Amino acid sequence: MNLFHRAFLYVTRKITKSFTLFLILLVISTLVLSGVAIKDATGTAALNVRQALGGVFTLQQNTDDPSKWVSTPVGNTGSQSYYDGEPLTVELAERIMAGTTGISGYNATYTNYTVPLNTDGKILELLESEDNGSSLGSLIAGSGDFNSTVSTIAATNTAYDSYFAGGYIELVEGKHFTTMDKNSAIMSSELAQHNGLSVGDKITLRMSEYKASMMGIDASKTKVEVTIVGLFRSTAKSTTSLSNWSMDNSIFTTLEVVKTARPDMGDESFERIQFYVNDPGEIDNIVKNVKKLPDLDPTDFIVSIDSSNVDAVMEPLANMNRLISILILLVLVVGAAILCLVLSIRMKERVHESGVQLALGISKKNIVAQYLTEVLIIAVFAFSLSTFTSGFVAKTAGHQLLDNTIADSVQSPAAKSLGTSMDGETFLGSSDFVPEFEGSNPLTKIEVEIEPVMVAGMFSIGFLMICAAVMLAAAPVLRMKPREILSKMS
Amino acid sequence: MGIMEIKGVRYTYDNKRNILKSVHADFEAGNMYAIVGPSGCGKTTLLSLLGGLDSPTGGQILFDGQDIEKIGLAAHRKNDVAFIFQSYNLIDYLTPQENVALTSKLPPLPILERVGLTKEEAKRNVLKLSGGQQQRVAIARALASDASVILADEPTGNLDEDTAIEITNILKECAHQMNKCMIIVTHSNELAKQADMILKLRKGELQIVDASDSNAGKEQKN
Ligand SMILES: Nc1ncnc2c1ncn2[C@@H]1O[C@H](COP(=O)(O)OP(=O)(O)O)[C@@H](O)[C@H]1O
Ligand SMILES: [Mg+2]
Repeated sequence: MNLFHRAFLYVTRKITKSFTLFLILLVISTLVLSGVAIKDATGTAALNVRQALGGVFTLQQNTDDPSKWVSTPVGNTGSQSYYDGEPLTVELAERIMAGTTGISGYNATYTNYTVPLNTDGKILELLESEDNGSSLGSLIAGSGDFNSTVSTIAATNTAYDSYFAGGYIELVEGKHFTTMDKNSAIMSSELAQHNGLSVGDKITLRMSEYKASMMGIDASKTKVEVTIVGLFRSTAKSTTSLSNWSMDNSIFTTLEVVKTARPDMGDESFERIQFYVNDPGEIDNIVKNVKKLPDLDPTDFIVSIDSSNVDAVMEPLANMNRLISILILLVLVVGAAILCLVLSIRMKERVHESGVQLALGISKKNIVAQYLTEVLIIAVFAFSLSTFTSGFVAKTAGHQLLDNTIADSVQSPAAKSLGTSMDGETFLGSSDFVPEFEGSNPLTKIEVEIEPVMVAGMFSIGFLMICAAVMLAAAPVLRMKPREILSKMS
Repeated sequence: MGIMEIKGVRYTYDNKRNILKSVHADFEAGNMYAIVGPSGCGKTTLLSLLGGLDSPTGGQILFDGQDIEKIGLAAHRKNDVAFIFQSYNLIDYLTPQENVALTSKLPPLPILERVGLTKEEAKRNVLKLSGGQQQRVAIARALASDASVILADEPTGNLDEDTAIEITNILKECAHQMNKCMIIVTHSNELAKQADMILKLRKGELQIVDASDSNAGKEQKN
């Protein structure tokens, strides 16, 4: 009778023992395979998300560099400083587009605040939202029409606006506008509805009378009429320091409109230009190429690679990936320990049997090979079944884990980097009237799939683990001295 | 010259006390030998040496005229000798047939029938057999191997008197009919009396006692 025959008989006759070992191996292999599948799915999802979102890099003026400021004397004693670097213009954006490959589009922005009026000259009724716990509300109380101002975002192409591109808001009616579409505006459908407005209607924007009087400007002369070309809907929660500057009260329009409504801006150009890159993997190279453009002084600008969109999605994925890796390792270590322990106990129980076999002239190698074969026979069945059970476990646990990680991860507001104004009241941080998004997550599903490679890997690792465990557990048999056999047997 | 020879064998555990001082013996095929002696005198130790489970501290053990150290102890264990134990030591997940077939290519059933098992019993779970039946299976397992020497350590120690006699008869018959050299360590008078030769181990030496001398068995009880 060869060792395979003996192993087969042991496995089939000691059904309870075989079954418990089968269960142990099934649980270990199911957990490991599920873990690997989920890990793989998060990796694929991350890749897909990166490709779907594309990459963004942002150009800003290098106003922090003192050497870029020029001082001119005013009167006898005073002096006035102004920034001497190249302004952020559409012309600059076009030049960069023309000189670099891989950029799919850009949007230049400037955010300010204006008072919106309907055609009757009445201030629009703004949407109330919860205060962000800011004390600004009480600070500006009694500041005239200041609390009727709304965030007014000058854009050159709203389709490439980071709120839209990032999926925080979506166009529900009408169309996007570019610089070609003069006096266009996009507002939230909610604000429009609240004021009985729809696509095609006109509204007027003007400077806040409170602000204008402080600067000696006649607010009525800053009025500019715009046509509503599109309506958006927020898909994510956002916060601002003041209720009137919430995303749902915000209005997108062109720079000419904002400049007319805010003559105090002077000849200021855009605050930032965002460039969209199709392949995020290429973004570093593209930025390098932009800095090398001949007709551009790279020290005039701060170029930042804005990965907040991608990060918002990648962070929960990365967290999940880490968690799964730890879990897989844990299952492997604990599983191996349990396997060693169970096999050790069983081998100890079989020392007597081993002695009998040795006395019958069966070699130690042959005996240990029989024990190994027994475990491997059971493992083949357990591992095979685990390819089915893990499919189920991985899908259920994968989606549950994803939901948890997304809910748990506090995302950095993507909007923070979007726009600040160089204008602004002294008591306001310049980003106070820019809505901040909590970050919506386009990632709600991952594709968990058990692939043949994973199964093959699990079989190999599992078999290796079993070999190691059997070798360890078989130590008492391997150490057995023939002369102990008779005294132990009798 | 017999099938197994012991020449001046000395044995000591841990170099302290000589369990075996100077043992000489000659065992022939077709005979049953009984080794008797007080408990702890070294009977099992001697059997271990004959079976190649350990090497003597001094002297030689020959199988078929060849030093078993030269044959190789593992090869000697595998090919030349077979053991029968007091506690049967059958493998519990194998049937009697499978236990016999463990190290033998011979058909197991005739051998099992030869030692008195029925066909039906030959297929039963070994743990559901009586002690006598289990020992019969163990004997069959030893007989089925090619070994020409069978070493049995207290084979009837766990059995009642009637069964012990039956087993003893089987062992003797097998030795005679199958030309095996049967070397048995025993406490049992009955078994010792059935042997063709009784050898008494005392103070590290082996003495031949006439099988008809019934004192051999009685002395055991001291
Ligand atoms: N592994 C061992 N190490 C040391 N002493 C042993 C060992 N095995 C047996 N002995 C001792 O050797 C003597 C002979 O033992 P043994 O051959 O089993 O006697 P018997 O079988 O005649 O009862 C005993 O005194 C026993 O204590
Ligand atoms: Mg003994």
